[in-house]
Amino acid sequence: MKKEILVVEDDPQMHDIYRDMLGEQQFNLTVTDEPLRALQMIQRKEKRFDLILLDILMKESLLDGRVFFVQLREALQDKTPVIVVSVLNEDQVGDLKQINNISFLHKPIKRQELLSEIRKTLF
Amino acid sequence: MNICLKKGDDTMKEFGESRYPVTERRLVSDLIRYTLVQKEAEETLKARTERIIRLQTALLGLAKENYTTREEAFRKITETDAKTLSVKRVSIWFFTEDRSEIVCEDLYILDRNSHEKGIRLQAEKYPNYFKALEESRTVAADDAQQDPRTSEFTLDYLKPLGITSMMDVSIWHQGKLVGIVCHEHVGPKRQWQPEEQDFVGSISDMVSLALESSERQSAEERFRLMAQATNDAVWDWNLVTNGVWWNEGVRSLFGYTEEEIGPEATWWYEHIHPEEKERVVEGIHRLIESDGRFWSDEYRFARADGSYAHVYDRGYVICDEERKPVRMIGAMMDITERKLLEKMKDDLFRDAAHELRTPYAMIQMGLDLMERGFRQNNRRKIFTGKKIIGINVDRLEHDVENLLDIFKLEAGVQQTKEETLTVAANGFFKEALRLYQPQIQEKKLKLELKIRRGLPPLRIPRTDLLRAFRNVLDNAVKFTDRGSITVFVRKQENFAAIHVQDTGRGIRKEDLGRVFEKFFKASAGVQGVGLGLPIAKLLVEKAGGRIAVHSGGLGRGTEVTLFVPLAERKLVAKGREAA
Repeated sequence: MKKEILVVEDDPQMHDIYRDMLGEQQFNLTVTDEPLRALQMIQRKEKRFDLILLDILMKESLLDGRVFFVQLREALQDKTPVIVVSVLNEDQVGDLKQINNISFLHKPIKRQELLSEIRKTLF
Repeated sequence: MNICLKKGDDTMKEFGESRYPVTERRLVSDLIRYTLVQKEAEETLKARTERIIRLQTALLGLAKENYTTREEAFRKITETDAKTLSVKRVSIWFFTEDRSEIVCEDLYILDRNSHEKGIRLQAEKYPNYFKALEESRTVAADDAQQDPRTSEFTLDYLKPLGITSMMDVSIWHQGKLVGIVCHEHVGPKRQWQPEEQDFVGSISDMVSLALESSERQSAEERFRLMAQATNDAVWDWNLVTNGVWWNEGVRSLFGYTEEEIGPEATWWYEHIHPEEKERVVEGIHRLIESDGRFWSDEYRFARADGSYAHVYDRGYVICDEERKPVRMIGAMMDITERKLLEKMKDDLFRDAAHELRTPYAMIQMGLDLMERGFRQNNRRKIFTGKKIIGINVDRLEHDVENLLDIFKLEAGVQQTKEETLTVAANGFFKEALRLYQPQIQEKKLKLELKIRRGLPPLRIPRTDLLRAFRNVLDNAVKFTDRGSITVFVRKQENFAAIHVQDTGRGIRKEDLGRVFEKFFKASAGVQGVGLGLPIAKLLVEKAGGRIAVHSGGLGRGTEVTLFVPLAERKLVAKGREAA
């Protein structure tokens, strides 16, 4: 059975990139550019996801990003792993790193890097 | 004395013819002589005492005076001096800064009861005179024209003015000979009495005192003027009474009234930010107690409206003769603006780093995508990769351009002279909008351009208008996902009103006032550095125009209007031809 991955990403160009990187693998991709829509899908259990790929911009609106992130974790009940992809560096990510079941990738990401992180998380 | 002796001789004669024997006669004459000498001495003493009392009274009168200016003090001194000593001319002279000349600051002429000033004498012509003044406080020359100390003046000065006797006394100030008080007697030569010489010594002391007091007054005046001129809050703290004087600055900077401030230092303590109060107050007291002189600190200080200003405060401790700190003078500078700028700069670097990193990352990933496309011979991947690279190279260029623009505009760097200073509306807007065609097509937006006929050319450098317009249009395209963008240009009084309307996300009411702030972004998660509107504003304002923004609220679209001055009539005709 193909693994279900939810991609939350507000830059349409990145959708193409994720589709290219992950499309030919054993994954089913659901892509959305609206974080609130993603939250809704999870809360209403519209679909069961094996992994969330989160690429929301978290710069000066770090708080917003965090609020969303906390809500997302609650909805997931800590079970589903999350990979956060961003241009933030290690110290900017800060204490988010200490949360269970979450890993970080720094943009620009390489296809191999993304695949191995996903495999490590899923299998 | 002469008179006395003569009198004695007469008396002797009278007694010489008497019937007393010689020895007795001698005894009597000795007795009489003794009595006469005694009487004479008594008379002299009486006269002297009276003179001394008169001199002392004059000095006391001078000491009691309260002068407002140096000039007034000197006039009073010369006048009193001349009248008390019955000297025809009394004058006060001072050396020039380079000591090459002495200048008369006040001359009182007794029989005319008038003052003069301004006479100058070259110091090098009278070496003996100044040497004498350096050596002894007073130069009393009964025969001024012959006396070697004063004879240098005879030809040029004494003879023409008929001066026969001179008594001059040096004025000392801060350990230096700075001037002279001159007494010039006209008529028969005069013998200067010791008490008169003492008197002029005291007169010279009075002059020194007046000098000191006027210097202190002008220093106070300078301080007062400086305190008035500065924007800082200047304070003068009496460490003995704990009283504080503030200048006007403290009221204008922080918005308090005089009554609110009060005369006590505690007012200052109480308005320091609670988190910093202890540190600041302890710091200043530690400095005072440790015999320090200079103090400075940075802290937050409460304004009357309850907000806090960032201040840089510095002060200087003043001690009394026993080196005990008695007073502290200082000034508080409001550095809120500077702090804000510093923070903005930090934000800029953080945001700029982030903003530039994003397109860079996209380019990198676009390249990877293209590379895989080539390997797999997948034309779609090559095309997508190329598109991603293209978009992000543009974005990088645009961001870097905007960052440089804002730096230049803020620093007031003049642009290179523009080839055209007026812009014909028609061609310009069509051409500018062509650049957005791909993005608008991709988003499936409707784009409309309406320009009122007969619009005169716009008076603004072409590249400035292009940059301003593009920054506004960038936002419209960026924030509009469906619907339309309309550019409508019309004449409004002496301005071209360029309306850019969109049906996009709109702006929240509370954010409307902030859209021209640098690095302000009304919606998170949107590309760009947050400089578009501030740059557009600076550019149209530079041309003498302005910018306005309206929005019905979130989801209700935005309208940005650039008001650009129109060219004058003469230029209008030319502009039409050009168009």
